[in-house]
Amino acid sequence: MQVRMENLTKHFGATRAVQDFTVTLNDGELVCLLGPSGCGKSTVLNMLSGIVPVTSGKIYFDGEDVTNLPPEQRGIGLVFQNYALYPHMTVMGNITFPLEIQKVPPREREARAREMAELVHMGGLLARKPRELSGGQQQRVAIARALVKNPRLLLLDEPLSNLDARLRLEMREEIRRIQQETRVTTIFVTHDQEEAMSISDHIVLMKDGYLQQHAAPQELYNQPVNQFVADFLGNPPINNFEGVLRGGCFVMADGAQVCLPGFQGQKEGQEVRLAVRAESFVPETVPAPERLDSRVDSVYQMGKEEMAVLSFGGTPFRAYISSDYGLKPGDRVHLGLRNRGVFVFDLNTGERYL
Amino acid sequence: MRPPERQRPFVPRRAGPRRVVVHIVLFALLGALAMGLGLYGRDRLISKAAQLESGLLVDALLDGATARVRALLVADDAPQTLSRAVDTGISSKKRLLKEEIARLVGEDAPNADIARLAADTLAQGALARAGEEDRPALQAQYEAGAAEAASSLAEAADQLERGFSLGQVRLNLVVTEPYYPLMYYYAPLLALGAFLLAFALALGTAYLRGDVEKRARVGQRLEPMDYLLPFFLGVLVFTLYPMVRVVIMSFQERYRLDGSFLGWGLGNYEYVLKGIPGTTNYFLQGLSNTVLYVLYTVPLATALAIVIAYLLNQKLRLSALFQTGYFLPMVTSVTAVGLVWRWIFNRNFGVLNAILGWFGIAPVNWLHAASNSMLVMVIFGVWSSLPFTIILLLSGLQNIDETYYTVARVDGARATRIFRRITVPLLAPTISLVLIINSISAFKVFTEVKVLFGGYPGPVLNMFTMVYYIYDMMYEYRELGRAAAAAIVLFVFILAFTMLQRWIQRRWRYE
Repeated sequence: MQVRMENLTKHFGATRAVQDFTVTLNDGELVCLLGPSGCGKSTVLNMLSGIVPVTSGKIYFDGEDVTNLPPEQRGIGLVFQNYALYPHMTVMGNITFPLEIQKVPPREREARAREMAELVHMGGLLARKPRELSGGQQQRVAIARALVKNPRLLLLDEPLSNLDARLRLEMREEIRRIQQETRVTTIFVTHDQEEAMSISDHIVLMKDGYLQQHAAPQELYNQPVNQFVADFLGNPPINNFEGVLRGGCFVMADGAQVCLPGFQGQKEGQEVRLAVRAESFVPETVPAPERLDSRVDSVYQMGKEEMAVLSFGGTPFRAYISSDYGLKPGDRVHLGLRNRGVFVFDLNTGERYL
Repeated sequence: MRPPERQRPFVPRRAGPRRVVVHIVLFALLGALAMGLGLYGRDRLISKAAQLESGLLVDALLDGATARVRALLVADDAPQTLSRAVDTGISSKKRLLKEEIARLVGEDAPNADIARLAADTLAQGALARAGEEDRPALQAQYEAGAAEAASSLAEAADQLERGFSLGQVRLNLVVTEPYYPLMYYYAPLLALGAFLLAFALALGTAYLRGDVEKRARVGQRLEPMDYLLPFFLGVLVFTLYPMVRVVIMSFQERYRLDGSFLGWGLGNYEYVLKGIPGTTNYFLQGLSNTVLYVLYTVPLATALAIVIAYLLNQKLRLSALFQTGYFLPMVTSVTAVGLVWRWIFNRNFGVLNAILGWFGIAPVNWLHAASNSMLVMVIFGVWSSLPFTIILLLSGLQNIDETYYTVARVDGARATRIFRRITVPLLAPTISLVLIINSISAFKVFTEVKVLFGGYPGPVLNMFTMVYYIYDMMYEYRELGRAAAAAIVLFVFILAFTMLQRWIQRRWRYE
């Protein structure tokens, strides 16, 4: 099902949770609503489910205006961070409850619940009570319960936050698998960029109630529209240098500079931030204007690569460098920049120039 | 890898050992004081009893000797002059003889000797007053019967003394002069003293045997107990001791406030359970009234409270106003409110009959018809137990995670289904708690009766409850032992009922 939100706005009193939010999500995709805490992503989810009424704007499911439809008529499956499994019902009871409400005959109810339980690999534990299950198993049951009534849209509100790191990885893949098998349009709210990058078809990145960027994960990573997007994605976080553009070169406060090809004569004197991902440095032996003349502060072994902490123009930064180079603390190294993962943003507005 | 954390060296706090010493001294002093008070009380009690007993014994010996000597010397057909002479003679010896007997009883002389001496002395006095001509005959008469009279008197005295040692005469020890009030409490005092001394001794041993570290550790372990002590003392004096005392008292027949009682036994229970044959057994009446009251009030109040709490939990306008309104009965006195309810139930001027009148129902004699008594009680009982029940259930409701409702609502469940399938099962632990608390307090129903029926247990003594019976025994009849026995029976009932309830509810709960 295609989901379209037009100029969606939500105010809680004076708080503006969501502002002028317009986005279209394609049928059958798994889309992540990503953003820091308090950015309005859960509010968007609640408006989609109908729990929270919108202040203004429209929501369309497959072109049908559902803005004022009550939650139960929207065909939505909901999964919460705390799973919200009814503690007094068995797994079977939990999964069949939505069907019970829809007055599906008991026999069919059970058959469909069994099918769902198989899908989430919980077929053997139908007689258990939720408290007898692990966190990951509870999450599987919650997903089965949300899916059993064949919703048009599956909404997952930070579904992995209550799990430990290992289970989180496993459940992340499970959610992806289940989504792939059912092809149900899924919206997944999270504040974990890594989670979002790894499972989603598209990511909707939000900040302070505003949409920042809506794109496929790789595009978001490689072509961030502004400083916030570049900062939010990537581990380790992107390296930022503050300086001024002079004659096509980036000049820092202490005079350290690096020339950026294709920037000649543009934005002369503009205060900018040069942002470079850790993997976008190439070590060279010979100095050149377009290379960063940096000093190695420390080196960490990380498998076949090394993570070096260096400084350039007084600003420390991190770079992945092949261990073949054998860098040692105190070395001077000239780092060239790759084409990918190098951006220039306006220092004040965060607008991207390169 | 971090190196394993080294054991931190134990740093004894300076306060530790000192605290131990303070405790030893304090407990030893308090223990000695309690022991002293207890021993002194025991001594006083025994000497008081002995004093009264010896007084009785002296009187018995003197009176017995007088009667016997007179019977020996004066025949039924004897002339009046003789009998008068004998009486005067006996009287002349009495005062000195009494002192002599008291001295001998104090010296613990055998009763046979005292009896003989008393008889001889009195006979002497009587003979001295008799005429010269009568004397030899009287002398012979006396000597013939003296031995037998003395031995019968001695036996009677012995019997009396055996009675004393069995404690049966304690009932008659009416102490009127100023006396030592703690003497009846010597046993708990001795026990307390022994406990304190033993504790002090144990602490002392630990202190003397242990090194600095041990002393400090003991002191630090004492510290939390010190903070508990004031509260514990209150509990001990006002809760634990009375509890134990009631159990003991229930086995003491004809127990009276001065501490005296007739003897040990099950008589109190027998009286409470059987009553006086041929009359109404008010305890059994109270028992059946109480059980019915519990069975009517508790389910009704709980069911109503669930509905009201559920409605109050909705975020409605004016809900604060409603909440205040519903909790009003809790902050008002049962007595004051009960008086208001008396007006409500009033036959001629009551609000209830007025409202019923609108529907064409004739005035009901709520308060003065025995058949309506239970209904009146149940209405009042439900009304007054609602607020606390609602508070508990509201807090239970507020503990239910909002997401359960959200998920159910998104799945299309309507309010009634959510209430029935989610709210009530999740509230089950609270409901079970409420049922238990309400049953216990309903078992203790008393003020309601007292206030509603103008200080009587129902219009025709038909609304006794278990606690009313206890009250009646205690304050109207001053039968403390029977009141205690009734209280124990009530306790057993509440215990059994609560356990039954828990057993039923255990199958119903999910955790």
